[in-house]
Amino acid sequence: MPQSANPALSQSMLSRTVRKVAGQSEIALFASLVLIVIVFSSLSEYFLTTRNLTNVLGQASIILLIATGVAVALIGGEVDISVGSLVAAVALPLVEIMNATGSMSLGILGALVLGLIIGAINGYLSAYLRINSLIVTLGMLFLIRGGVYLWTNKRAQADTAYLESFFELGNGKAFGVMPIPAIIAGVIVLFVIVVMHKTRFGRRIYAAGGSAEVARMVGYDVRRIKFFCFLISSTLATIAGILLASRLGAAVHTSGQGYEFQAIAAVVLGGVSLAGGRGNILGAALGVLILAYLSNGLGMINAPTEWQLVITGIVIVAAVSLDSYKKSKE
Amino acid sequence: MHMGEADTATVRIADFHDLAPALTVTGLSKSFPGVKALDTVSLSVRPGEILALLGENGAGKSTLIKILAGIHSADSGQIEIDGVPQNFTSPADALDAGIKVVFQEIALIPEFSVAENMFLEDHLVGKANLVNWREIHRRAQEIFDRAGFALNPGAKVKDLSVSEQQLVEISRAMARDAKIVIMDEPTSSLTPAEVKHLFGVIDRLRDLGIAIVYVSHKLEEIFEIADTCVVLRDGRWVSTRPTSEHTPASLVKDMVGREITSLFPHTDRKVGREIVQVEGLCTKRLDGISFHVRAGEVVGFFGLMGAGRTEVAKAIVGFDPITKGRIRIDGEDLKPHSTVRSKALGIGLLSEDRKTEGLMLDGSVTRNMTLAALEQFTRNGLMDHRAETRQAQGFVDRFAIKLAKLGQPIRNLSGGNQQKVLLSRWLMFGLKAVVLDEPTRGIDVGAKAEIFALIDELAAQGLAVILLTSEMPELLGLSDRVYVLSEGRMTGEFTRETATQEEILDAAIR
Repeated sequence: MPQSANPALSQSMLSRTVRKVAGQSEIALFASLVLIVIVFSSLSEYFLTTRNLTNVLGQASIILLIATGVAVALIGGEVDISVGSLVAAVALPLVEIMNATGSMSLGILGALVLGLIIGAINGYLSAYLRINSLIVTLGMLFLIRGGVYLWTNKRAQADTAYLESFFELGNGKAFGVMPIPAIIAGVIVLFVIVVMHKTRFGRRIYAAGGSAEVARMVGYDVRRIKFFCFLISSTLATIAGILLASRLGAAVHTSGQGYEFQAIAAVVLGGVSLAGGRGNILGAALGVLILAYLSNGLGMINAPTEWQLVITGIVIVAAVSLDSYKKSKE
Repeated sequence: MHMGEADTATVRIADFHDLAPALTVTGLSKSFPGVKALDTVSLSVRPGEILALLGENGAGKSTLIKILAGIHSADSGQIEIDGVPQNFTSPADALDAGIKVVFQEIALIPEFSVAENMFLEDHLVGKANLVNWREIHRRAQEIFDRAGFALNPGAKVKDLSVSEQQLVEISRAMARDAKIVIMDEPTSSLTPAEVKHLFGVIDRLRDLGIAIVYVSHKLEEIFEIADTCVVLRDGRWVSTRPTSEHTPASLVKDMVGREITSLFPHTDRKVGREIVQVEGLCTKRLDGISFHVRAGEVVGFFGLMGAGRTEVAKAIVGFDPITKGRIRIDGEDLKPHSTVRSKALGIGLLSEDRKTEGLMLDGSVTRNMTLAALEQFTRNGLMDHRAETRQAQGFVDRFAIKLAKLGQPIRNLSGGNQQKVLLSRWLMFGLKAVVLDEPTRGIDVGAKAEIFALIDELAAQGLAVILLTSEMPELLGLSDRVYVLSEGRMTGEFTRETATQEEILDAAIR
């Protein structure tokens, strides 16, 4: 067959690959993002500046990491809402170990260990003991937050090691422009996109979430796959927690409150189905950016925070309604 | 190993009898708590042979298939493939050994593409262990070309029809070079045209030297394609004979263990006033349908897929909106056009899709049965559970519904018994007319006869019965009159005396 030498064909292959990663809905999301930028640029002269646009990326990177993990769990057919509390919890070993040893690596290691332990408990209860993950992680949300309050006596634990490298992690800018957290989050998101789309493991997460029954029949270890989804979401939330602690210069006991719902909102806006198996990380990331720029833009035009909440709520429900209306028409 | 080139593969395996069996099952037994589901069953199937596996529900077919699929493990006995003893511990093992089961409930990931579903077990990977989508699509297309399937590798499975999804399952078997393909009731939700196409596909698989085990309730199909019939009853092997030595009666006898003399009872009934009157009914898919059904009459509706049978049913019970026409139930107009109004007027629908549209699967038998008639058991706003149970027990006795206790989830009842519960629901409510959409779908021969008797009894009690069926013998055996639809129009009306299969089919394609 004379197909390998045909340039038109290989081009169509390329466009097919692009279309596979960025489907129609991702293009629509991207268009909405551009629209938001255009609208607020015309409303506020401070909006469309490199400084503002990159700052928002920096701020959004924490929710972006959490949302990516939440999206992986949702695609795998599970929910993880313990991530907001986890953000506060992992900052404790991080800061305390750094203060005691003066080593950032050890601090980060401590944070990751705690994050993985929480993820493993979530995963074990949900995947192996088959307890509804909404309940498991809801319980974990309260348990961790309570634990943090008890440990800290409701006081922020300041970072007294003052490590330059740790400060840079959350506050530095590459080439004086791009916030380091945005770069870290961007690289991780790209990596997760590749894992989800181009590895067997990623496809199995989709299969397990799309139809656990079929996945089992095909011979996948569905429990193990789901277990790993919780490890992924808690690991990404841990990284978010480390970045946030660096920004704040402390382990703050109230930090991360409500982040789990911001993340779920963004992810759903980005087209990830709560029923599992549907949606993708690129869409989820675009959902995060849309909400971030929307809230930033509303702030720029001095909209009261009350209205920011109302508008964010309307946008989420409207977008999801539009999507399901479109599907019902098909 | 590949299936061979397209042109050499068309050489028909003239006589599979000379070949060594592809699959041999010896003395297979399996017990579940309380039941011996399979009792020393043996069979063998050769390359290019189509073996029909028959038996009523509970005969052990499903257990046998599930063991062959690696879902259950046998208590004793042996499975050999090409003479090599197998020991399956998972579905993946069975597939690796070359057995592919196409289940009735299709096992595909709806959100995935056709091509991805074909390589679910092991996504093809290239550099750095990354999934090679190009190769997956190319290999899928190659298989479709070889098998002559008109499938688009990139289409999402959820957008395909059931018959196309079956082709994907079969392609999946070919992608794995399966030697044995087992099909569980593959035609249960296919149109006649799709069935024909499927038989073409099965012929093609046979020509490729694949051994086929075909599980079906439909005797006509067995006589059309099977080379050999293996009958199971109560978990035990009953007979293995070439299809040519069987008659429908001998097969039914083997399956049921007794002769069913009259499959279609038809008592002399008194026909009363017109209960259902439909004039010039139009919907999105229907064009000027008029008909009537009298009390005590069974009126059959026939039509090929897409003819509008189900649309008629859904319109006259107020489920689908109508654009024109008049529907009267026992003289009263069905206005407003809603299911609330139609229920109040006394017409109900027994959906073809029992599981999603009729039953609350985890609810008890009683709850399912009394659902439509709860008002009858309410006193001072409170439920009278004793009266409810008494009524339910009455229907259980009257229709000989087989169950352990009234409180058991209806999920555990056989299809035939579930259907009886649904019929009881409408009788308890006191309907004047009932629409039965494919009432025997997925029900085995023995239970079918009971459902037929029940339909006859419904009419004898003065109900107007509208029967929608695609089974010709059922249509001819049960109906007092037959209406035929084609492309949303009424193209024929026959009485019991004038109806013949040829004329009905002729009207159906008019």
